[in-house]
Amino acid sequence: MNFSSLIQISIAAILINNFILSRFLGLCPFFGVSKKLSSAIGMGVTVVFVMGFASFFTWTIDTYILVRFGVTYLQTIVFILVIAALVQLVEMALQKYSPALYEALGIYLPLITTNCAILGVAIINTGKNPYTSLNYNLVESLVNAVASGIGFTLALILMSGIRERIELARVPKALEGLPIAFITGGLMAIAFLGFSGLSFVASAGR
Amino acid sequence: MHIKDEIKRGLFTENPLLVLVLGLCPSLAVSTSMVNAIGMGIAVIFVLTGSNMIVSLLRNLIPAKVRIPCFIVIIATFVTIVQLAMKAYVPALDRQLGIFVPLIVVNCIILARAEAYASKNGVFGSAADGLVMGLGYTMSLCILSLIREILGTNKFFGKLVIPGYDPMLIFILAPGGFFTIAFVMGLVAHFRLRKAGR
Amino acid sequence: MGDLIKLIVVLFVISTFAGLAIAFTSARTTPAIAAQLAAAKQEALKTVLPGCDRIEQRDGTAPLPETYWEGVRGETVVAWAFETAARGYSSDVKLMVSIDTAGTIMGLTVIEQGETPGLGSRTQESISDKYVWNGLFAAERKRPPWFSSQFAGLSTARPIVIDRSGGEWHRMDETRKRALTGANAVTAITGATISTRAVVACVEKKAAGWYQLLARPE
Repeated sequence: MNFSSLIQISIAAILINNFILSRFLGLCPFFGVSKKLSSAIGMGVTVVFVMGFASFFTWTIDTYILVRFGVTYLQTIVFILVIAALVQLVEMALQKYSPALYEALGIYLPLITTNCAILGVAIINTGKNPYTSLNYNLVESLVNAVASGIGFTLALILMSGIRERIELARVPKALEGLPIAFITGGLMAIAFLGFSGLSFVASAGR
Repeated sequence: MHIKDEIKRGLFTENPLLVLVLGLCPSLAVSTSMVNAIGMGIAVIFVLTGSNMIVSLLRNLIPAKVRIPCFIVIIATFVTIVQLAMKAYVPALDRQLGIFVPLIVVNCIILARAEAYASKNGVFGSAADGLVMGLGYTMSLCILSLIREILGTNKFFGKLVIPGYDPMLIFILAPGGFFTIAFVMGLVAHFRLRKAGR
Repeated sequence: MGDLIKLIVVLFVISTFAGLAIAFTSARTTPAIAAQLAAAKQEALKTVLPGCDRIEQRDGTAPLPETYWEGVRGETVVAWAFETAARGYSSDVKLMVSIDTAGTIMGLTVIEQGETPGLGSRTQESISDKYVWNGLFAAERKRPPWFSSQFAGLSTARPIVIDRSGGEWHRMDETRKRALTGANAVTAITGATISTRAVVACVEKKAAGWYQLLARPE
């Protein structure tokens, strides 16, 4: 097991190619749920969980069914159905077996079914690992998914902390609400741009 | 006239991106150049109009309980058709848009219109709704791309614009997307406030 | 129960039609997609092997790549072309490199890359000199990307240096460009060091290796 590849993937997913601030995936919940820290944490945890779960199933289906039978053009439709079904099952399971957890996290589940982030990470995991130039294997794709979720949560928590304070600040009328949130996001994105030099890729060829 | 009201609604009063704030993810990523924006816009118009029409045709056959999965299957079919067509006929654009072509399937606009309009109205109206909403989305994408492309690369459709201007690279990178949409939305809000205050 | 049956039937019917529509589209577009890829490859070959009468494909045995191309002028082989990929910042940068019989790099083309737009993607950028008022759709002389053209004339016998003192290649005059080529140097893309280094390292290593293998008298 190539551990350095796993570490590279994690750092890349959390900091260098942060899902929200760099790849623009998962913006709707980013601006919709980030007003309070508690809801941000709840959403983040749910996303990490669903990403991991969904990636496992979509990667397996892609590798052992879609690629083997040469029907990769069905990828979009199969993935989105698998994700939708999975989220539905998780919601039902949560409701039945852990009502407390359902109370805390369940409301976010419908929000993330049609979320770019989940489908996005599923599609990325069927591509190539830039650190080994091979396709992601199952472990690498799981690590990528969970790390991407953590990166998403990180950005969400940072944003909600800032937004809670903006509530008390004097903002020009036209910029109230979403525009100032976007500007905040932009400033955070500049900060995260600094991580782009962290790339571990030894550029000395192969 | 009915058509004029519809167009006004789709482009301005209920602009999917700038007013309803739907379909954010692809718009920030794709608005780095006019060509990408128009390409994405056409793809969205195709999917939106097509899925609206099919959903409307089948609206009496789909039971309410499974409507979301059914809508998703219909939308995903159109998205796959667009994906394959793009790969075959405009592969350069496909590579530029990258992951956001399959992500059209989770573009909130399409599901929202299917749910809110197409499942309750006739085919012609739904098609028109899809077309108008798609045009509104394309227009807002073009506004964003115009700003980002000129400020960020000093180009318009690949041709230089301002002589002697060394472009601000940040506008075509991630932060630029956030700033551009912030100010465009702020401008829209400003005009709406002024109109409401009048 | 009847509800559930109806649910499943409707979903099944819609899925079947969806599947058929997609399969139909796929059947129509697959040949076009393959043709596009083939055309792109031919285009790349023509760019890196200029002035050759014929370009012939050959099968290689390890350590040569599986396929390579020979550029033939008259009856003699004047150059070889290879495909390779450099591990760039966020993607594999697919390259087509050609070396002539003297071990000099004849040309380089970036076939495909998925680097950061505005930074690493400038490996494929061709500098435009037409302004909007020259006519939006005015025909433009298609200039080859500056990043790849600066590799022409470099030697595989020496390491390739990245020169940072003078800015980018396309802004230099002819004397400066000749000096760089003489010093076996290329310029980097501003802000895209990693992408530049990746391409340079890959070309340096691979081109030298292939030349050793092919120029060896059999």
